[in-house]
Amino acid sequence: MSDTAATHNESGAGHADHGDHNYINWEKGLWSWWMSIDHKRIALMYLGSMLVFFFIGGALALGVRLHLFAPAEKLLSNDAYNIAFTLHGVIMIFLFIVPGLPATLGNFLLPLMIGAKDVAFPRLNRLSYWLYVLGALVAVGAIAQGLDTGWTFYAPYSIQNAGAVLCATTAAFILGFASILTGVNFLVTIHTMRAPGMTWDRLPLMVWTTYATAILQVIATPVIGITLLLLFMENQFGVGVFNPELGGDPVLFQHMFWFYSHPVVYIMILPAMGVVSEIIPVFSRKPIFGYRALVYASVGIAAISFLVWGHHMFVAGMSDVARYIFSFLTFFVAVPTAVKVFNWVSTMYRGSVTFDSPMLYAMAFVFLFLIAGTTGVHLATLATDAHYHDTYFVVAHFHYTIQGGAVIGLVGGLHYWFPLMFGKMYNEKVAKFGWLLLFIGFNMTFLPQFVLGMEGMPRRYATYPAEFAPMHQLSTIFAFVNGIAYALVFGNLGWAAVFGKKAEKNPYNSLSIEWTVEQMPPVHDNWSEIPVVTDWMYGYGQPEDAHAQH
Amino acid sequence: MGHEQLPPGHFSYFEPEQAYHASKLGCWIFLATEVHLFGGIFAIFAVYRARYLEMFNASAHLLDWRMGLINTVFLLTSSYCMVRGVDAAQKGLNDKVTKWLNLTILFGCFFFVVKYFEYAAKFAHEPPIYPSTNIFFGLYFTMTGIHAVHVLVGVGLLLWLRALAQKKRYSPVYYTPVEMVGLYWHLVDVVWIFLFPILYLLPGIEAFGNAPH
Amino acid sequence: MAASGHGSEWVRLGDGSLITEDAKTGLGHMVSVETYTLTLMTLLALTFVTVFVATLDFGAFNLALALSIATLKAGIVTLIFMHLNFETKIIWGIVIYPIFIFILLLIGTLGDYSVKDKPAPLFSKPIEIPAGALPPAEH
Repeated sequence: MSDTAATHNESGAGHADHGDHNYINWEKGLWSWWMSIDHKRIALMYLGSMLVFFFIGGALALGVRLHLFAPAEKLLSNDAYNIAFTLHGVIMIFLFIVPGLPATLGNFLLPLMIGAKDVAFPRLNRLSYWLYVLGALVAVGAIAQGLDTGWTFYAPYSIQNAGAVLCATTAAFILGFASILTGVNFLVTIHTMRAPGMTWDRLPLMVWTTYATAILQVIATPVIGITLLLLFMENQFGVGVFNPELGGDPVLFQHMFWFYSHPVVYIMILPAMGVVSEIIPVFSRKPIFGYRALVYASVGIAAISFLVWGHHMFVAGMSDVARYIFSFLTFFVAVPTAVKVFNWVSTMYRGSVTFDSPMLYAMAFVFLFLIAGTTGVHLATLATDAHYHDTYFVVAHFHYTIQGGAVIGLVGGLHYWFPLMFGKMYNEKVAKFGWLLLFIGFNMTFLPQFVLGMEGMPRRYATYPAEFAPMHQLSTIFAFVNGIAYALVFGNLGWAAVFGKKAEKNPYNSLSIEWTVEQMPPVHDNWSEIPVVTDWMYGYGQPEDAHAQH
Repeated sequence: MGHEQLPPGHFSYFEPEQAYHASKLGCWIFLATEVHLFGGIFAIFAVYRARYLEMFNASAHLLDWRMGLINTVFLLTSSYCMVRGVDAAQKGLNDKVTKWLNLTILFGCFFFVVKYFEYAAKFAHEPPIYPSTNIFFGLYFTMTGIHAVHVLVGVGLLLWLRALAQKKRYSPVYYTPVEMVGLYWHLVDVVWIFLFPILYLLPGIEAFGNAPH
Repeated sequence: MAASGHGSEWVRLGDGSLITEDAKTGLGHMVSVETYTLTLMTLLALTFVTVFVATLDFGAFNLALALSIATLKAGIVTLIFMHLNFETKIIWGIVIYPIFIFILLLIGTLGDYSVKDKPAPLFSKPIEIPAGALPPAEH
């Protein structure tokens, strides 16, 4: 037990009375949480805030889908519809999934996984969270002013809608700064705070993906920063950079916007891939197949992600040469992901697989991301993209990547590391049922949307011809199933965090060192003595071979 | 874990050398983000200059290159004073640190004074020149404006450093804040090194008896 | 670089600063003051060269010259004032990788604009749309 911990004798609910205190209960009161520099507390605060926005964004989605249930039904006015889908996108992207896995699982797990007591700059970490809260408050201002440009703020429309766009761009700028600081923190932590024996080739794959994500956060975010700043200058001071009436070029806005926003989708997905790489070996009791290939694939995804931004702009008015080049390069970005899928499946092959809920989420990720990736190839191909661009095909594609990929990864990770984070166990039956409901609800919401897109239904339209109605109705009904599933899943986890049964130490028998903390949940500085690492993290099922691996 | 090796009052999980290297790494990464911030707007400038070359050249002639030159000299000199300050901190000479920081701040303020006169001259021009006048001036005001904000933040950081120097906080094993702010200040200088020729000098200037081209 | 000794006392120097008792050298690299002063002189000289070159007419080459001298000055500030000369490979990577990404952005945007409206390399003829393939124009 660390001697710097407070010497309270409180015991948590259901705990044995060793006077054990952990990072959750050793300092009480909201102020101690707000001022905390403990990466675990910061992670939980991020999680709580983000889930609030997740459910608000989800409610907006259900409102949109309800409006679209029948073509003639006018639940929302046209303007209100534009605001609804814009806010759904802005909230989900900037307030939920971009902070997303790095801010929650990354913050919580990174120091634990490399054997450190905290991140390199704990006070900077706290500043990141404070900036997130500030950005969220400013975003609420944008919401209140009825932002309706779509989450992409395309010029010239965004130039005309000054008030709300001002708030939204300021919020995004602040949130971007929080993201950059987190990225800096993680990069320096991984470089300088690894425990003795934690060499680069023993790093858990979650740490490698966090590293690649941090590089993207650090390099891509400033570009959106300057783009938003210019939008601000345009709105406030009449600088004609993106305004065609003043000689500017709206396509240039798209270039600058997507230069950041394409890497940002890899910021969303890479940590989720890391989660899957951690879960599958544990529940297959087999070493991860192709560790080195997975490392190269993660870094490769980060590198190639900078080369493909033009594929969002194929019909926007780029030159033909640019379109050929971006299409060609976009095909390449699928390759590292395919390597990962192959390696995950190969890990499971001939393993002794158990289907606990974390594993169900990991497997769902592989399946859903496969669909996401292959439909991405349709969009990377110039000829088919001309047909699919701005239709529901794109909407379904990115929901498969973001929800079927990143969110499933987040939920799976929360299930897997739940005992470590809270020292308690959730109800496995409810978790499995929630998973099933989520899987069915999600797929049946978005598969019809692929069909709609192929038939030509445009996105962001408030109404549609009657022949599209059956698919829309199907999608709407299952959207509600999707929503109920999330309520059930998070309700189960939330209930267990407070009232759950005490979990046994390392319940899934993982070899990764975050499970070697002296107690679950950990004390505020993780270990009283930094562990010394002697083995690879993935020597499952082969104890005698563990040394031979590395 | 080595807490006793840092000067009293310091919080870190590191040994001093590890803390120094970690801080330096973090600072350089932050500078990389600044490079991208300015890089983005330099890219936009390049695109529009290629499109509207005549308008850009004509507008640039309206800028006073001599003020730009003076500002360049001020910033280079302040960079020199900054690095002398870092050097003094490395040797633990807190009085000299204060002196060099004072000079750095002074030259930074001179930069602002010249900037003020430059902007005032533009607004007082016949007809007045604003960011909305054309794309060149929109970018000119934005680029120099963002740069000036960075100089302002830098001056704030320098004042904070100066306060620490007066408390005799720096020594050969702890001068990290000075070096980190120094890196930031030098980056701001590097950005200006590019801004000056790109904004003021590209269409050519009239001086030393040579006609403008 | 050698750090201070282990577990030593703090000693206050004459000017009031703190140092450990058995500190041999400090952290980081020391550069002589003369080097710094010489560097400043060089930078100021290069600045005047930049201005002088701008008074001459080399046509399109002016841009290249201005940028080259600016890059040289920036390089000198980075290597000497920012001590990049002595830094580890990681920090060199942090400096070089973003420059590479910036060049990428420049090529992507500038390149797109410079070839806009020019025929694509593989197809020199526009694609013919057969008569009757498009619906008749309504307005």
